[in-house]
Amino acid sequence: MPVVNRRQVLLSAAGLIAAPYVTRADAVDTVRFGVLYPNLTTVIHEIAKRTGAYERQKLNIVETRFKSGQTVEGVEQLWRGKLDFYMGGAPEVPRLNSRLIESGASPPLAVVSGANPGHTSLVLSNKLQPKAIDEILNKPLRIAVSSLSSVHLALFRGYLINEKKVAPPSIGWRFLGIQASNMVPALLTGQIDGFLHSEPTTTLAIVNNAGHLFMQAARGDMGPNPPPATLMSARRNYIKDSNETARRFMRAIFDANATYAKSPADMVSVVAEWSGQDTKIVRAAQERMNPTTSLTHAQAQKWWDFIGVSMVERGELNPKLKPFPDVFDLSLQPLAS
Amino acid sequence: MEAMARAPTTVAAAPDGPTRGGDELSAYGDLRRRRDRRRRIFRGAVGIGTVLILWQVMAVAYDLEQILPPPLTVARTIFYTLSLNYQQPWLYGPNIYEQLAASLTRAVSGFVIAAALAIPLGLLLGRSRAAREFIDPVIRSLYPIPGIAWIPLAILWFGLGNATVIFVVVIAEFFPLYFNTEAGARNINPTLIDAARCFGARGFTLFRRVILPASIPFIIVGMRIALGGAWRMIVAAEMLASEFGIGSVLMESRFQFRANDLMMAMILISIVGYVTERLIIGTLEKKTTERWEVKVL
Repeated sequence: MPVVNRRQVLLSAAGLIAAPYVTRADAVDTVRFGVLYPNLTTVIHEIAKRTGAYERQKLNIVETRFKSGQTVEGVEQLWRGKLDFYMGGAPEVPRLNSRLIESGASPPLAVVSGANPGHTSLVLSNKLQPKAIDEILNKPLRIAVSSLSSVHLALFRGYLINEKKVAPPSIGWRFLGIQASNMVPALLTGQIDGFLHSEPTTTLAIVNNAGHLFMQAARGDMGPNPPPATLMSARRNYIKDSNETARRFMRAIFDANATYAKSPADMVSVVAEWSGQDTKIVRAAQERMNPTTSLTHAQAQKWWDFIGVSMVERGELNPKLKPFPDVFDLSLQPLAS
Repeated sequence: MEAMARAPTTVAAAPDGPTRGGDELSAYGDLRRRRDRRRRIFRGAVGIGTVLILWQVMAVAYDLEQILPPPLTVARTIFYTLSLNYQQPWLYGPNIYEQLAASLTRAVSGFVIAAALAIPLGLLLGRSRAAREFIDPVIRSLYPIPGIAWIPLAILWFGLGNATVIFVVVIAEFFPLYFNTEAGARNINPTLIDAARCFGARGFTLFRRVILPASIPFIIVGMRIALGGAWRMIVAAEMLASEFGIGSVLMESRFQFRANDLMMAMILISIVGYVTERLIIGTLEKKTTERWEVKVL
């Protein structure tokens, strides 16, 4: 009859206790990530995929694509618990948190990172060649925006309030909400006098000689150190409950940041494929974009001072909403970790 | 001649001259109609009331304020919006009356243009086999293209604004109007036409006395479907190609996560759509019924 000695018993017990941890060490965690696609601004995700950054962090990414311009859908899905992270436009997250605060609940979402600082351009028709913005502020211009709630319009309002000390309703412009894809044809056919939008719309307008770049936030035309135009958000309860996975996800994004920053020129084909644009357009647009994704406290504060405050002033956000902690959670940023 | 047109759709007329039996019958008929009306209103109110109570209970019990605001909250939003006494900032440009007026103008303009094109064409193609064989395949091949698919082209052709929205509404309304009118004109009982011809009716007289009255029930049904479709298309087109209108309010309220405003816009569309239908189609129906004594299907 076989005899089980004390050593074997202890080894078996230790094995049983360690087994789940050993299994978990090899396990791959799943992150449900929503991104705008095709889109220039969310390309960092594609870079992370192609360079194996997610695999190195033992993450299985379930990607959900949202059509460009449909940021609200992604934020809704994030809020309803169908996604863990979402990357796209910007103002919907504070808006949703504001509504929840108004109804007495706690804000469900948090902005955890950002990309494309100053990714807002004011393109004017070639017929308009002002030397300074003051020359045209009182003219009855028809300026297209993707919607009256557009982040680019919010940034421009912030610029008027903070830099020009002008109340936005006092200027003579009429803002028309039209789809980004219609902006260049509308400018070409003289239906609008300009538009406030990002890439590739700006480059397409320039390349097609539909208009000229009059102001560009990234080069400081709308104030120094412009805030990010693309935000990455997560559910607060996900950050709390799956903190380790969330951190690994962000580490993968930071790896992709490093890859892009090392040589943006080598990324042209990836960006072109992800955004559905011609490589020529991407090359021209690259000087006005920076898809690397990170957010410092100062950038978040700047976002709030420019965009958040103008949204509060317009009545889109409740004055009770505070940037920290109601909107931003920077605990997943490298310095925080 | 009119009697011939009426033949398949009218109820037999009462014998000439007032009689006591006739009065009693008429009084009984009135009483019955009133009773039916009261019953209809009661049942309708019970149906709507039940839905509202269930909605309120569900919204409150499951705390659905953000995705399904309770009807009382929506009713308050409608009241404050209509009285222009906003409880929260109005973020949608012109006030609600201007937005509704813009949408209504587009819907009615589209409807009138579509009717002016589709009804004569439907009558012509319904009665002329040769014309039908030439033109009907073209119309049928365009029919499967959804109205919303025309929006990008319409923007290119007409630019952003009223003309694009009206064009898309015309496209969407044309087909139900055309198909119903054409079916009505094609399915007129040949005996009626033959009989009218025997009495010497030709050309415009035949059209006015027989073809048009006999097609009216179909045309009215087509108009009813088309007007409902117009509101659906208005909202879709305004979301994409217009800076204001009730569709834009609906879209913007979604961007703002204001479910109250979103439901308010939906309910106002429903009310204005219903009232428009009653006013336009109801009046047309009454006029044609009185004139030709046809019974609308």
